Amino acid sequence: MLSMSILRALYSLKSENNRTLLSFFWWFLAPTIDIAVLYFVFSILLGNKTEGFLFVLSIGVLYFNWFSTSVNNAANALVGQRHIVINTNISLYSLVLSSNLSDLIKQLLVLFVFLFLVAWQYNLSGSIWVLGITLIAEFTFIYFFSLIVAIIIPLIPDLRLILNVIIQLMVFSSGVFFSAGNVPVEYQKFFFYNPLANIIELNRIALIPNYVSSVSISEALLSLALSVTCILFLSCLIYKSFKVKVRKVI
Amino acid sequence: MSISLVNVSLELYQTGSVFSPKVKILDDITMTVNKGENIGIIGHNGAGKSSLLRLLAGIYKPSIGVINNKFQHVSLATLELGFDYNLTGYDNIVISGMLIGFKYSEVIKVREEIIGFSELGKAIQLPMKTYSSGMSARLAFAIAFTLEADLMLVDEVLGVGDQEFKSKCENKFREMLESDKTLIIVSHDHDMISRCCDKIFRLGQGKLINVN
Repeated sequence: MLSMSILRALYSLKSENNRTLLSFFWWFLAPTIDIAVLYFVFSILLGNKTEGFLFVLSIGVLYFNWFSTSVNNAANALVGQRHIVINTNISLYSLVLSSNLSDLIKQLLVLFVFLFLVAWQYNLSGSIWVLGITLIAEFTFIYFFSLIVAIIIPLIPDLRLILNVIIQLMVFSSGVFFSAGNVPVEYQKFFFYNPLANIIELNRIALIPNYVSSVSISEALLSLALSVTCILFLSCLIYKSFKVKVRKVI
Repeated sequence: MSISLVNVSLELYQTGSVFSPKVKILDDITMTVNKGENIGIIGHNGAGKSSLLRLLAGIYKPSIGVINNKFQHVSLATLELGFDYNLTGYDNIVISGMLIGFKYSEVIKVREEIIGFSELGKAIQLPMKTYSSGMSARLAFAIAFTLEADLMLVDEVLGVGDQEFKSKCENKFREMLESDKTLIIVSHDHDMISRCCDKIFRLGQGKLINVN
C-alpha cells in the first residue's frame, strides 16, 4: 500500500506539472507570492518593524500553507476519486496518504531552499534538530487530520463548508503573522493546545537567533506530542467506525 | 477454491449523506461460484448487478449475511480506472494496473504485452489527453484483461473500439472463458451470456434467480 501511495503521489506531481507552463516552479513561486503579499501588508502598510520579521512570517506561512493545502486536497481525496473508491479494494487511508505525500514532497523541496536562505542570513543554532522533529510531527498531524476530514466529508458533505471556516480560524490561532509572545499571557495556555502553533514557534526558536519565545523547546515539544497523539487516536476511531459506511454513501 | 454468498443483503444510502434513507439494493442473495466456472448475471438497469460484483470483490461489505471467499486474487475489471489524462498511456498502465489490485512488479512484467494488445504503438508515450476515445478504450481494455486474476469480475466492458479491435477483444475474452480462470460476467447481452456461461442468474428487485 505504501509503494502504491508513493507512486501515485509521484505521478500526481508529474500530472500537475504537465498542466502548467511554469511547471514545478509554482511549488516555489506560490509560497513566495504569499509571503511577499503578507510582508507588504504587515511590514510596509501596518509598519511592523520587528527584527527578522520576514523570517518570522516566512516560517509561519510555509508551515501553515503546508497544512491548509494538504487538508484541502485530502478533503477531495475520496469524494473526488469516487470511481476508484467504489471500484477498487484500495484502502481509503492509502488514498489520503498519496494526496498528503505529494504535498509533502513539494514542501520538503521548498523547506530545503528556505533553510538554505536562513543559513545564508544567520548562523544555524544548535537547536536545528528540532526541525526534523517538527517535520515528522506536522506530517503526522496533517495525515491524521486529513484522514478525519476525508472520511467525514463524504458522510456529511456540508462539513466541506465548515472546513474552510476552521482553516481560516487556524490561520489566526497558529501565530502565522505574529510570535506567540504577542498573545496575552492568560491565553497562552490555550494557544499552545494548537499543534500548528507549537510547530511554527519551535521552528522560529530553532532557526532565528535571539528569537524571544514565551515557551521553551521542551514545553512546546511536550504539548505537540500530546496534541498529535490525541488527533491520532481520534482519527483511528473515526476511520474504524466509518470506513465501511463511506463506500456506501459515496 | 470458491466464493459463496450466504443470505447476503446490501443497503446503500440514497443520496450522498449518512443521514439519508437507505435503499435495499440486494436482498437475501445466496450463491456459490466454484473455480473454473463462468457465471453470467443479467438484469435491467438498476437491478443491482454492479453492486453484486462490488460485494464479490470485497469493496462493499454486506449489510446482512456472510461472504466466504477462498480466491486469492479477485479483480473487478473496470475500464479507465484511475486514468489521468495529463499523463502518458505508459504511466497510466502502472497506475490503473496497481489500482485494479496488482503489484508494481506484476504490472511492469506485462506492460509490453498491454501495449502490444492495445496497438497504440508510439502513441503510448503521449499524454492521454491527445488520445481519441477509441484509443483510450483500447488501452483500458488491454489493462483490464491482460492482468488476469483467479476470479475476474467483468461489468459490461466487452467489445470496445472499432470493429477489428472489437473482435480482438472477443477472442481474448473467449480465451479467458476457456481457461481455468473463474469469470463472473454482468451484461445486458443475453445471447452472449447464454453462449459463454455455465450458469446464468437474473437479478430483479434485489433478488437473484437461477434461470438455468
